[in-house]
Amino acid sequence: MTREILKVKDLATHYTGFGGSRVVKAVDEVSFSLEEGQTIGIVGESGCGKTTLCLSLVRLLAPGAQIVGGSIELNGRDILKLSQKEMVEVRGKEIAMILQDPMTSLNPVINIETQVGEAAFKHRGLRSSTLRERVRQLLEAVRIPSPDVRMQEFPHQMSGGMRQRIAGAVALSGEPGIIIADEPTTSLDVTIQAQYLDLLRRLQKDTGVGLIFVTHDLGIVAKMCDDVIVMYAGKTVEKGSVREIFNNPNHPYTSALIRSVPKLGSKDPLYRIEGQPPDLSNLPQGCSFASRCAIADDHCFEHEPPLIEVGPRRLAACWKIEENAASKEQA
Amino acid sequence: MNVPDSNNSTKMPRKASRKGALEEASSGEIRNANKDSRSKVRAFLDFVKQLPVGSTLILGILVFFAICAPLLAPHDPIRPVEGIYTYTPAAWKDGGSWAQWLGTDFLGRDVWSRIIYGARVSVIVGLTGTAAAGAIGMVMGVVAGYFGGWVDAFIMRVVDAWLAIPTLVLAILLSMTLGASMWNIVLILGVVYWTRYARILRGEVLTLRERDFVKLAEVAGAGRIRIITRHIIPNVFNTWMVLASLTVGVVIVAEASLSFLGVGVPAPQPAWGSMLNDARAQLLTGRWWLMAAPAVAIGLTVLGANLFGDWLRVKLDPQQRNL
Amino acid sequence: MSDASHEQIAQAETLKNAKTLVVNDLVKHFPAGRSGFGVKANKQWVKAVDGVSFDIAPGETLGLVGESGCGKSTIAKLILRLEDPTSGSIKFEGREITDLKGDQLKDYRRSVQAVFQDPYSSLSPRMRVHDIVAEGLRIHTDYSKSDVRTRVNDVLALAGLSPDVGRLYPHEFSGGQRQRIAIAKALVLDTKMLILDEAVSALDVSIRAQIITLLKDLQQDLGIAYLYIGHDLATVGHLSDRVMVMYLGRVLELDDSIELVRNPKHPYTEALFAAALPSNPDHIGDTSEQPNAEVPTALAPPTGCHFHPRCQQSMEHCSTHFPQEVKLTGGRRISCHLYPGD
Repeated sequence: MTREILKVKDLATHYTGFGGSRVVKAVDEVSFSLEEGQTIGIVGESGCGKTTLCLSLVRLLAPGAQIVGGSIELNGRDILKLSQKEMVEVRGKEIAMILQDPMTSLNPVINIETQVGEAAFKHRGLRSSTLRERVRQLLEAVRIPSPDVRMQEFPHQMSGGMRQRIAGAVALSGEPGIIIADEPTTSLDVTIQAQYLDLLRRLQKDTGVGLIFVTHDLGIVAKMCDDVIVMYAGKTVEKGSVREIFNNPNHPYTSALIRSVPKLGSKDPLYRIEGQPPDLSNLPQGCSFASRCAIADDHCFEHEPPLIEVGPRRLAACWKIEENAASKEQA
Repeated sequence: MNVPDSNNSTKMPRKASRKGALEEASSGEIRNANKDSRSKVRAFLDFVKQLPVGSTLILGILVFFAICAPLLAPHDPIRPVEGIYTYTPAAWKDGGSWAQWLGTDFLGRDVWSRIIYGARVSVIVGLTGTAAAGAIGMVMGVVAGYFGGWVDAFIMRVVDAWLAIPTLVLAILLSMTLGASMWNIVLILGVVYWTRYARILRGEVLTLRERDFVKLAEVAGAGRIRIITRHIIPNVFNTWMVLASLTVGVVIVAEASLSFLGVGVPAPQPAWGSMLNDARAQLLTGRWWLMAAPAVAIGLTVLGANLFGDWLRVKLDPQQRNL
Repeated sequence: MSDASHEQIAQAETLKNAKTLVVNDLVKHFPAGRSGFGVKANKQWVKAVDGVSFDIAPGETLGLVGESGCGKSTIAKLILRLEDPTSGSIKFEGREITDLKGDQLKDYRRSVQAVFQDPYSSLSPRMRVHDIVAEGLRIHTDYSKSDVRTRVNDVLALAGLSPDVGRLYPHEFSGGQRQRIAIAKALVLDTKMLILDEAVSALDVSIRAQIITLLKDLQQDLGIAYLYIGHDLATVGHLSDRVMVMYLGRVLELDDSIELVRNPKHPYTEALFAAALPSNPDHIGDTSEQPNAEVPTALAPPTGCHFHPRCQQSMEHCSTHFPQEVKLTGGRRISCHLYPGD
């Protein structure tokens, strides 16, 4: 049994605006846990709260956003109880991040060596030649050719794929137990994306780091993740292992999402989820997916479904799990 | 569920919203419809409520002075007060009179009346000078940014050359060649200050030109004139407004400087700058209010204009680009 | 039967077979480095498009797939006459359009429209939706106010929007709805061809499916030809009848989309397929054969076949000779030394 390194319980992050008259429940009672060497995918469309969720995990929320409930246990202690000063020690050392745009996540006027070495310097106490050796190892690990030359260079001298690999090296530098990757490949070309994803998997195998993959792309989830959390309007609508979720989705949103993605070599009409995702500041009563759901009935519009266990390590929040299964049989 | 704001107008009948893309799309789209239905008066009051108090007050009084000068001024600003031929002290000094509470100047003209009339010059020159500079700058900036190439290179080199000349020197030179009159001053200030608009608007147009909607307008067959007037200018207008509001103060000071140097608004028309000049020697004789009155007037006006400009910038330019 | 009617039939036949767009040996070179006042550009050229030929039939969708820098967006700009080609020809309905000017160019613009990737950049933020959509009518027709309104409402309905949206500004819409507005705008005149440059890439999964379906339905109803440009093979393949694969300004492979997916022949196409993300965790392909080099820039493309440094099967003369394009049985066009002609 591998060690559990992160346990998030009932996490709720709200944005308050206009003097508290409007509350946006960006993350609403989300729970999950992550083991060593495991990859968990958080998937959902824009505005479903997935980015707020990962910012909550490192407590780097924008002003106006606040974690209003729940706990985040990282290596056995609740980081919500830490002061911001103590959090500085946690970030980079225990949990690191890779962001979407490598152009803005690297500092353009600091050379690669300093940027990659920063966390190793701060958190692991490496100095001079050992630090340099560590930076070289990291660059080699992310397959940067001729690392000794490259570490003296600056981000603008690199291609997009290389920059994102360096962002990966920066994240690994403090030897964190967890890396959160927020849409790390959206700005990369297809072949470069595939390379990068393979690289992350290999690094994970070598270091045993736990990965949290935040994405809207189901293909990335299928390729990378062990477990998946599907989010809709700030809530978990379904959770389970990636194979289970793809082959036997229990929530109509999940199955609709899977069926709405074009598949290579198939021209079958795509499934269309009608309408728009709801406005988080003004959620409807009942199930927030009901108005777009093909099988919703009056009950769904009036009552919010609880997240219930529907199988071993499977959770779903839907009143019509059985009917949904039946409708899938037909399809 | 306790939804905090439930009295919105967007809530559609639930069943209906399931019908299809058409209805669903429209239900989302009219979420801002309540904005339109709100009465115009309410909107106006809301607008007034969020104006900055201090600067609006200062500018309001200034404009009020400028418009109603004949009603407000106790005396004729260019003729001596009856029976007075030279300086009289301010009201709080021995021999002063509340009829001319700021005293009279060397010709016996009422200083307070001249301050009130001077607001006219400042307001007219400040606004029209800014507008003139803005108009030249808008044309130059948009032309340079949109057409690019050698036109752009030429205009921008002219701007560089312009900026190399001290503005006041340029203004004095122009004023001496053209001859001093209020409308010449407006023209001169326009010619002197257009560069600040041209530079920034050009940059703005350069990025706008690459925006897809401009390309799509071209694809739709729109000519250059249409693209510039319908697609470019409306989108740089906010920037233009912000620049203009920040230029007003500079232009007012420039006008005062020219008048102070004797190449501005010609005597006997009352202008705060020339009043400063007239009062220069009187500091030594203890008649400090002659200097203080126009100085305070200029200072307050510029302060009000700049505060208003800052507020406008924050309002119209949310990214705070420090124009 | 009279001669006249024979002629008419023959004419109808040729019209039916006529391609909407025929592109032949299209070349576009951009000067690299700075140019302008005083600074003489040293003559270095980026060959963004380097001898590309293809055609599109009425009602057909041609997919154009390739990675950044392959010249796919330049092709869109050339067809839209936003850029002028260095050489080569583009024929629209039999008429050469590369040298059109003035009124003739304006006339061409009635028939060819575009939808771009970023729905936030393609609508002018200071115009109401009605004016955005109506712009084409105002430029090309002298419709009365009520005619304009009717037509605008018609195309808004085609794009799945209600007429009420006309009085709103773009910022009041979500990305998917903006893309619908952009589509309505593109359809307002008698459009015969649409250039869709990554038209669904920026949208959320569920919205993307809506727009893809909308585009397919519109094509079926209106018989418009599409040039769909994308980087995502699955989407391009789904939308297109034929798919053209480009790399650094050149066409490497072109075939029916299903055929191409079932049986990719060019090593680059294979690499693209291998890199495509799986639609199910059970189908994770073998990705060990990934080309490991970086994508070279079009400024200094490799000699010979541009793909050879990344190619697993590259041979000696790949680095010196660019392979001639050959037509295989079944109609596939391919440029690769593994498939020499005859």
